[in-house]
Amino acid sequence: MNVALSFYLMELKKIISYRAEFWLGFLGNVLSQFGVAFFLWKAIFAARGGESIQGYTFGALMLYYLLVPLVERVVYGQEMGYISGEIYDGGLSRYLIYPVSYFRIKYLAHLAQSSVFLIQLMLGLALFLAVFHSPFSLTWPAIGKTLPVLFCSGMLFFIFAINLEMFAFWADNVWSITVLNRLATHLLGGGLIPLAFFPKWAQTVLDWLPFTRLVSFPIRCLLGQVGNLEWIRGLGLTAAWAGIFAISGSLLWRKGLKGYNGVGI
Amino acid sequence: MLRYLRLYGHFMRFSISRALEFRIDFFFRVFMDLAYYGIQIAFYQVIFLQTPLLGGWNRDQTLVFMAGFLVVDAITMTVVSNNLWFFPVAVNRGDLDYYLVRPVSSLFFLSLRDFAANSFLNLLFAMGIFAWALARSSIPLTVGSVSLYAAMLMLGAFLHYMMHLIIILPVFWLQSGSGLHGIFYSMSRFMERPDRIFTGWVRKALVTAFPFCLMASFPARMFLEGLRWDVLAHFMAVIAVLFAVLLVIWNAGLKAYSSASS
Repeated sequence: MNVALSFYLMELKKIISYRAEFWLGFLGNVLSQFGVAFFLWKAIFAARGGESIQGYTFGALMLYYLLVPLVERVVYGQEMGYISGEIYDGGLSRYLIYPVSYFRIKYLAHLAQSSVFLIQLMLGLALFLAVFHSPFSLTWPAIGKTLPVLFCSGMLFFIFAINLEMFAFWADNVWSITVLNRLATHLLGGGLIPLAFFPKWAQTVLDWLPFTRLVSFPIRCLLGQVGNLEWIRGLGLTAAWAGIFAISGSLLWRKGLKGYNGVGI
Repeated sequence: MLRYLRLYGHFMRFSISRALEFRIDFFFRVFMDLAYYGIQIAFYQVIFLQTPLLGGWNRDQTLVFMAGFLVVDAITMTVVSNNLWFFPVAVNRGDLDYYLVRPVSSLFFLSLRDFAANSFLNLLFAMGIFAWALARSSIPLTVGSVSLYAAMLMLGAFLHYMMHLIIILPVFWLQSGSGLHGIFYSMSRFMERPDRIFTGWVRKALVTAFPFCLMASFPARMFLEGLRWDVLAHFMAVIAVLFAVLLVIWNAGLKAYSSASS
């Protein structure tokens, strides 16, 4: 436990040591996504008229779009390339002789990032609710449902991402696969457009895929749109996908380590 | 001029042969960009399930605009993006020294040395989407109108390059430049939507000081709504001013540059 705490605190120190870059990146990302969505949907509401589209008023949509980058940061945690980079430069070797599991160390780093991003999520949400008159009010049951969902979604993303990163054992460069993962998650998870705007057949298919569990599901929980049964089903699906990727990841790790020579490129 | 063209030919040959050494990565990158194109098409298809018009354009007109920004993106990805990505690293490590001592323009060398062969393949795909979008639009196509649109998109790509460089140039005075790329890519989201959806001071900023709306929207507007000399003059004026600003910041940056110790 002490070792785990040490790794966690070390990661927190790393994040805090680049404060300006951290907050600049955060503000740039959130404001640009929110700004583009604001003007886009303002134009759409003006063109078609009416108070709401697919059950979303303009205010509710704006809150959704504010939550997208904030929730994505909590779920995605650490930047891409941290595992593949160590495979390429041979840095993985030192972890193999540590008395702690390599993935436990990496997961602690992921948790450290996520916990800081969770604070940003709360600040962003508080600011929005203080400035805008929103039809939405934050309730304790909604928060209670969202926190375990964020934890499970973060774990699912972490396990899925390490599957992709482990292709570095065989491929020259995996940066493009990890970017592809983020692009796919952003669209298919409901980050670009809420899933309620997709055709019905697409919503049915996407509901069974892991992407929805990473973006749309935590946001809908926070907005109080998820009932108890759907919440349990959602958590079950998240756990099932995490289990599948954990098995495939374990196979990739064992196979990859057999060919790993630690020399680096 | 001929010397620079010859030099660029060498850059291309060297970059292509290097890209083909890493074939899996080459095809992953091609696939990644194709997925980005697919996502943009899917995005507008879903949006037009909800509205008949977006910024005054219907679905087919918006597809023409979207195809235009994919071409702008593909051109910049092919020609300059790799180079600009590593620019802050070169400044921080002092690698810029090697560029400054060459007997050619250092800005030319830094901006164009790495030609992204995989993105060139994506440029061909983007041009295919562009041709598809033009063919399905109801606008009468003439050699003149298509050539003008293509030329404007090239200038849009030049604007894109200049904005990216201007945003990362403060690396000469800062310790780290990675956050600057983040700012540029965050801002470039404004390029991906039609300019008329933006209003007020945000729109004014996006067509003047931060001309992301000029990169693809204005070329599309001139193609879809006919050539307007005042719009063209505005477009050219912004390019000229931005180029002057770029040169001023670049020269100031070089004066502040202190090799590996910066």
